[in-house]
This record gives sequence, C-alpha cells and structure tokens, in this order.
Amino acid sequence: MHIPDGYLGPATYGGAWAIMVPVWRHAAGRVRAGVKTSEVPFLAMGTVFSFVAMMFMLPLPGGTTGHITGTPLVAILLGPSAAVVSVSIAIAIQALVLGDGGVTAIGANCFNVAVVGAVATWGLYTGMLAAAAAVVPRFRSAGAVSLSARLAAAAVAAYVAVNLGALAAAVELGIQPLVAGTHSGGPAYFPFPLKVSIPAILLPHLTTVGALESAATVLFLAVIHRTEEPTKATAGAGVAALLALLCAGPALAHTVQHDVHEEAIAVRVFYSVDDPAAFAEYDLFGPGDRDPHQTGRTDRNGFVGFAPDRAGTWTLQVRGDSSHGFHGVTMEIKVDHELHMESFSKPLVAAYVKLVTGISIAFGLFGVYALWAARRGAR
Amino acid sequence: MTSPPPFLLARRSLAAPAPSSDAVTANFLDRSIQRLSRIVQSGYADWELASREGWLHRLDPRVKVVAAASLLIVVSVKRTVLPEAGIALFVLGVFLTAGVDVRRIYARVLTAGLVFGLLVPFPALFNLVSEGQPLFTVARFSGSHDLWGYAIPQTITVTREGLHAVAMLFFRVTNSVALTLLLAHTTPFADVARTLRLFRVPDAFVVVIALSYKYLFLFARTVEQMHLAKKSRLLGPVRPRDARHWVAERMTFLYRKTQMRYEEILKVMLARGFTGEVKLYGLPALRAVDWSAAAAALLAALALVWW
Repeated sequence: MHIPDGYLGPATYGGAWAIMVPVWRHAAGRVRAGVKTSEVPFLAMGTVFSFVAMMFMLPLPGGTTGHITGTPLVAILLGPSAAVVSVSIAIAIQALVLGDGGVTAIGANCFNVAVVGAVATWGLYTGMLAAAAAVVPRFRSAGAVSLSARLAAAAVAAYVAVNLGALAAAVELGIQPLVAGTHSGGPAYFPFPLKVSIPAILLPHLTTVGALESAATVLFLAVIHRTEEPTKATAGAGVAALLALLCAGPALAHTVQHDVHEEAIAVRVFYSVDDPAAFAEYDLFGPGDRDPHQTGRTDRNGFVGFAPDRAGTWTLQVRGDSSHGFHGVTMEIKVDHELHMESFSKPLVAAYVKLVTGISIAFGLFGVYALWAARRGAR
Repeated sequence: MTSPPPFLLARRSLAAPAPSSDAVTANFLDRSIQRLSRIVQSGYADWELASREGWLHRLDPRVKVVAAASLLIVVSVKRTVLPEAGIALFVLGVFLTAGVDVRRIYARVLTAGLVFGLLVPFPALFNLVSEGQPLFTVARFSGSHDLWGYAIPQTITVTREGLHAVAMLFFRVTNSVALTLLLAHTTPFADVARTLRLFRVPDAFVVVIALSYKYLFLFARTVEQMHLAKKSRLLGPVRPRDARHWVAERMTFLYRKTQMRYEEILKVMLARGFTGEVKLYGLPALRAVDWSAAAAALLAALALVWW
C-alpha cells in the first residue's frame, strides 16, 4: 500500500521529489553505461516484470492469500540502478492508471520503495555474498557461492529492506503533525505522530509483510537458479551466511566490485582463415544446463571467452552470418576437474578441411574430364 | 423387462467432494484472476476509452495535465474545509459535463475517500491521539489509563481539531483521486506520457513509460491466461506447497519471457533504424480553445489558492 495524496504536506512531498530527481538521473545514467545496447527496452521490461510480479497471489497459511511488491526480486535480478528506475516507473503507472498511491506522493513512494527498498536489498545481498566469499575459502567469488547461501542472503536482504522501506514511510507520515499544522494547532495532514505511525506500520511488516516478501523472493530465486545450475545445499554455506550477516556492517557494498582471473577458455570461430565470425550470436551451455550459461556475441576477431565453473562437457552454439550467407556450428569442449580444457570436438569437415577440399577438387576435376571424354566420344 | 442395475438407481450427491484440511482450493487462482481483471479493466480499458468526443476530451493534453497537476497542488496546500469542499463541487461539475460515466468513477472516488479519508484516520477524531476542543463525549472511564505507553484519558471525546483533520483528509483524498481519474478518463495515456516532456523528463524515459504501459497489459493478459489454464485443469484442491511452487514457476517463466521480449523488441527497434537516440515528435500547437481552457484553469487555481 503506497502513501495516497493528502497525507503528506508540500514540504515533505516536495522534499521527496527534490531528492528523487537527482537519484533518477544518476540511476538512469548508470543503467545507460551498464547496458551496452539501448537501455530503453531493458528498463521497460524491468518495469513490466516488477509490476506484473505483484499480480500473483500467493496462498498463505490459514487459507488467505497475499501478494508481494517484487522490489527485492527486481533489485537482485537487475541490479540497484535498473531497479530504482523500473520500480519508480511502476509506481508512477500505478498512481496514474490504477489510483494506487498519490500523484504528489510519487516522489515519497519511490524513495521508500525504489531507493530504500531496492538499494538496501542489493547492498545487503551483495555484502553478505562478499563476506561469505571472504570467510569461506572455496567461495572464490560471489558467483561460486552455493545456492543455499545465496538464498539465505536474499531472504535476509528482502526482509530487512522491506522493513526499512516501511520505516521510512512511517517516519514521513509521523512527522506531519510536527512539520505542518493548522492555525488552530491541529494536524493538517496525516494526523498521527511518530509513536503511533511507526508501530502501526512497522508491526505488520515485521510480522507478515516482510516474511511474505522474503519467502516469495527465496521461492522465486530457488526456481530460477534451479534452471541455471545444480542445487547444492551445504551446512557450511548456511554458517557462512550467518557469519556474513554478523559482519555485514563493514562489508556492505555500494559499488560494483571486480576481480581479474587468468583461467578462461577462448574459442575462435571463423568461416575461413581470413574471415572470422565477428559479432556472431552464441549460446554456451554448461553440463546439464537447460538454459544457456552465457550468451552474447563473439568479438571482432571471432573469439568467445568463458570461465567454466564445473567439470564436464560444455556446448557452444554459434550462429554466424557471413558475406556468403547464414552459418551455424555446435562444438563441445570437455573441461576437467581442474577446470582446464581437456579436449574439444570439431565437425568432421572442419577437422579435415584440407583433405575434404582436396577430395572435392579431385572429384570435380574427374567430373570435368568425364564430361569432356563423353562429348569427344559422341562426336 | 429387466430392471436397471442397482448402481444406476442409487442416489448420488452431485456436490463437489469436500477438500481435505491440508489442501487449499483454487481460491488463490480466483483472487488472482479477479485482481488481474480489475487491473486490466480499470487501467487499460479506461485509458483506451479516453479518446471519446467530449469537450474535455478534445482539449490539448498539455492543458489537462498542467491543470490537473496545478489543482492537485492546490488541493494539497489548502488547510481549511470550505475551499476543499468548493474544489470537490468544481470537480464534480466538470465530471458531469465531461461525458464520462460519473456513477462508476465516483464509486471509486468515494471508496478511496472512505478508506483513506475516513477509516484510516478515524482514531484521530478523538482526544486519544492529540488534545483539542471537545465537541461531545463518547465514553467516560473511572480514571485515565496507560496502555503500552499510550495514555487513555478518563473521558474520550470527539474534538473539533480531530473532526477538522479527518474532514480535510477525506476531501483531500477524494479530490485528488477525482482529479487523477478525470485525467485518466479524458486523456489517452500516450498523450499524458508525451506531456511529461514539459516537465523536462528525458525522451528516453518517456519512451520507457510508454513501452512499459503497452507491454504491461500484454503481460497481465498472459498472467491471466496462465491462471485460467491452471484453473481449467484442476479437478480437486491444491496443496499449499504445490500452489506456491506453481506461482514461483510461473513468475520464473514470466521473468524469462520479459527477458526474451526485451531482446526481441531491441532487434525490432534496431531493424527500424533505432540508433540509441530517442526523439519524439512534438504535440500540435495550442488552439484558441486550449488557451482559453488553460487561462480558466489558471484563474480557478489562483482563486482557490487565495480563498
């Protein structure tokens, strides 16, 4: 439930708008820099997902149903900047189209949900994963943290972020009797002080709303990760997540971290020696993957680089379009337990291209001779 | 003639089998479908039907958006009941002459007013929350009490300040919702999005908003169809755990679908010459009737501010 019109005075909602305008500019700029293609359809789809996610009614104990806001989900899936913009647009559309939330209160609602909710989720989630990676040596990077640790981090992050957003809303409402009053001294806007607004709004979020959002976030991420990688629940990961929670203060991340590795496999795809499959689309599947582990385009020299995270057979499908038509190739790369390349397969023709070309030329020459001999015999 | 076999003669109840205690019916499906239908109907249908022929429909969208925004601000700054009541009558008058379904729209307006303007601030009527000039007594106790840090006075009265606060909230909420719905029912959403450029919203954002709006209802329809398909395949109750997993899987599917749709849309835009730069065509020049309406709205807003 968002703050409706009439509950906040001009000083409060004006201040919220003043805060949000530079936040939106900054977030949009970061999205534009991060999304190499146009950010327009990317943000639109993020908005659609964050809006439609709250249309699902979840069955709850007791026979009731409830729905989530989807903000922690969007923050974890798309990142904080895209989440701020997408969720803000979703809130604006809700206010203008559905009348859910006030139009003057859009700034305040965006601050509570998109900024506090999304940024807090992202910061807590990545901070806990980074702390888990630092505490548990085999978690070399955040990408190698086990699924159970990631789900634990997401659960805690979603729960805390939703309650922080609720607290922000409660404070904005509760200060109205202090900052705005009528001439007779009574409240001009939201009439309840902080000692009423904070428990009234926070208690349902601490008990029900936060738990629902946390559970739904974990449930959804578990399903989405199940389609991407094998599930590996370890007790050590759970302990790591708890330790990460205790160390979360100094480990909170506010910027994107990076790490440079040398262990990578590079595949070069080409049509001929002088004709690389530049900017060709590819899909890379790990062992047992139903959905691609990595997608993208080859670089200008036809290279695809990837860092395998498990042993087995990796399948690379490349769809190229050269000057002489559309081509596709599928190759398999075997990775050993040290995550080094063991072997790779080539199509028979590609492996013996010179031999096949030689045989083809020989057949062609023979065919030409046979035709000449037949015409000479007919004369 | 042989008699029919006994099982054909036995009376059977045609009622559905009672669900077991650990199963949940398809209630969550029905609620989702109702919610989606409400969203699509109240959102998309209303906005799309806004292109009708009425004096307000024919006005330039910039005039309507600026007028609505100005009046919303006026509604928020007034601190006495009489001007708010005046605004309510003014907006109702515009509704009655605008050629929209007043009864259905005002049902929504009054519902919002009752919930957010009356029910939520209801305790503020009394001297429980803040002191004020008592109007009449509601309850009298033997003495004052302290309940978890909250003081309950000996006499609970309705105060003048409390009544004023609740009345102000009621009028503000109803006026704001009425103005928003008036704009929604007389201006297509695409025009409202383009008008945002007046407020220095970048063109890229305007396109994001317009794209989101369009695909929002497409995906709402997809979600509705998912729920209807599930409901049509249900023969009995669903376990809560299964129901939650189904919801999570459908949300995953939806997430993947939005990702795929993003890539498709981008390719389509690139194929049509999109280079990353967004430039929108401007709206046509304002006509005399638009300028007159803008002037009238400005005068009304100023009059209401000074009242």
